[in-house]
Amino acid sequence: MFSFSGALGLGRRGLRATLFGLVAFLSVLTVGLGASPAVQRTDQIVLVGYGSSSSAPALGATSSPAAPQTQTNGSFTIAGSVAGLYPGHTVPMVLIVTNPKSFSIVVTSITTTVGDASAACPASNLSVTAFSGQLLVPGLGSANTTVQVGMAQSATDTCQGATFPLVYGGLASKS
Amino acid sequence: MTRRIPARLGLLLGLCLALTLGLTLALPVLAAWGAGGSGRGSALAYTMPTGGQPSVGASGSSVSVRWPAATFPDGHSVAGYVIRRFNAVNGTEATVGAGCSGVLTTTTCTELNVPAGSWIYTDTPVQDNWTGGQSLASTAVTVQ
Repeated sequence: MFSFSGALGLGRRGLRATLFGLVAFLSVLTVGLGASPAVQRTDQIVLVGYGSSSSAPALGATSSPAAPQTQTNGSFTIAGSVAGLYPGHTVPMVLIVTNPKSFSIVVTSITTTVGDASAACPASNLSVTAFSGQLLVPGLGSANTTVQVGMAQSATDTCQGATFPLVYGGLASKS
Repeated sequence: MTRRIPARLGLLLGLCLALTLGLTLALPVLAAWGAGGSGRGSALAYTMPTGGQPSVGASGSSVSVRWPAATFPDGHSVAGYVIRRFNAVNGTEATVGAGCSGVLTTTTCTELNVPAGSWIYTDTPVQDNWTGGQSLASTAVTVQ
């Protein structure tokens, strides 16, 4: 007759100790994961845009359930504006990242999508560098990073006084 | 004869099995945590400044023209200037000759071989394809 403990070469005491170790570890693991804010917040997948609410995913993020490694579990806001652009000139722009969560996050990327200032002054006249790195944002706090905004040397006269809309998207992981 | 594994070794084996199983289950969950951020902003372009009124002086058939630097609100000077010359009597524009033609990166120039007559000058700031406002005209200068 087949015996599990026999197949493993375990005596009764050995089998009992093995099961005890298995149960004890899984219990600790279950309690630990249950207390993790990462798991507690898996229901918060709605992203909040700066100044308005939106159920649409942010740029650079996806809410596809088939790709859990990029599932967004929370939100943070990115704000920043700049002035002083003219052809061939680049200016720094400070981006303020605000974390509404009670725990720290690390922002790993921020990208900017430039919109047309007008039909006569399209977005192609402006470029904004992306942020890529490790920006620690404390819980319920904010942190700054700087990107560069440049206007093309070929920008036409129609871009004088133009206002380009900027839309930011970013990704972060739990610190 | 079957050798029995001691209880202590069984406990160790159980912990190893549990650790492997636990990490296999837990790591994908922990790795899945991520947050998306969003926001809006704007980038505002300057407008070109207007040129400052030039001053002029004649020496024979040469006319020297001097004008103040034009700057953007952040204090940066514009890249260049275009000088124009007009007949002071009837306002007709003339072609600016050597010395002051084209886009100048300085704030002074001397036009050579200016025809006899009474002339006024203006300067206009430029920045690549951008053109600023034309300055007020200089006082008239007479070339004999």
